[in-house]
Amino acid sequence: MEIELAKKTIGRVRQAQRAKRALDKVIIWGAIFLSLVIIIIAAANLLVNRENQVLDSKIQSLKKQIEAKSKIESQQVYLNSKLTAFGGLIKTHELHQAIAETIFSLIPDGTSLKGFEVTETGVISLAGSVPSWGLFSRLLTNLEQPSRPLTVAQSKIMQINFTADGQVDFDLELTLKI
Amino acid sequence: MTKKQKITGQILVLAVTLLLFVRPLAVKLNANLKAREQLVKQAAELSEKLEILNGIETGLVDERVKKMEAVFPSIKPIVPLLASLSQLAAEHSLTFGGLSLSPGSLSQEKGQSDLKDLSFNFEVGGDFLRISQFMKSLENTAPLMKIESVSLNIKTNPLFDPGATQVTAQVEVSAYYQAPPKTLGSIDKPVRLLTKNEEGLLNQLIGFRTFPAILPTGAVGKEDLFEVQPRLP
Repeated sequence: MEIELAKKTIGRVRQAQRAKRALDKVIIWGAIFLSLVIIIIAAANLLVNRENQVLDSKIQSLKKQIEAKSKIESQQVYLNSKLTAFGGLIKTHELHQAIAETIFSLIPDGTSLKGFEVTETGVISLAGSVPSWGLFSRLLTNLEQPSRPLTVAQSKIMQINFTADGQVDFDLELTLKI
Repeated sequence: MTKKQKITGQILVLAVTLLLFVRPLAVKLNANLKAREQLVKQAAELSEKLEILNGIETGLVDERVKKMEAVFPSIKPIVPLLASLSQLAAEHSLTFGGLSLSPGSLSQEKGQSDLKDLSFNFEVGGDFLRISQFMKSLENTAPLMKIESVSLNIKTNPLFDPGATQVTAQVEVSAYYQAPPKTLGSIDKPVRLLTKNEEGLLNQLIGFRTFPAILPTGAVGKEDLFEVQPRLP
């Protein structure tokens, strides 16, 4: 009968050796994996860096091309800045012209206009004189007729003076429909 | 070396490797990726801007700027105003005079780019019909003017035609001007194209009549307002 006295010890030693080999393997694979991670990150870094350099040189070239066009750019900026204010001026200009045109269309021939003024509230104060009552009556009829380009929304006679020679001095207040 | 010591050692080596090599590399990669994102965006914006600038017709924009400068000038339009008014009055066979204006400084005011006006008075004399035609033409004459008030004095001269009414009109007019922007701003700033409405406004500029101003014979000052200058940082 053979008795293995070292069986348990041998088993323990073999188990320890297996564990050691497994640990060594883990260490080796771990080191390989870590190296690979470092290589991949470094490679990606290099790649992105290279792309950035290419992009940067492209941007520099675009900037040079844009700078070469700076005259056109400044002209465009100039037009944009001027057009904002110009648009507003043109609107008031057109309205002003329409008011003046309407007033001139209302006044019959022979009327002497002392002046007309547009107040801040949009009311037009119109002062003048006509040589006869007949002409003044035509002016009043004109105020009641549809006028162009703007129509009279409201008209108010502020003052009328009859002179000895038949002349009629008038002071009117008109509100135009805008 | 015991198994425990070996594992501890390996963990330490791993931690040191991660801390010394992997982390800085990862941080740098992240920064590079962010920079790339910004560069791609900037390149796209600049390409778009260049495309817009290439699409703008040089001749057309030159013409528009000249017309805009004549109609809505950048500096007080004293000389063009006098030239326009006197020539327009002469064209309508009217007498022109009694001009009163206080222009103040003739140089461009610094740091101001808002809308400014210059008010002045003048007198024109002639028959009523010609005066009313003059008034109509005045608001379509460069530089842009707005009639603020008009007063008419009847001065019939019986020595000439008793039927023709001789009128003297005292006119108060405002002319407008606005200084251009001082700088273009950053190169990355996009160029704004004109809207349809703005294109329409520019077409209205053609309707304004310009009269030649009397110019000095020698070249003075800056000849080209838009010549290329070094860009400000």
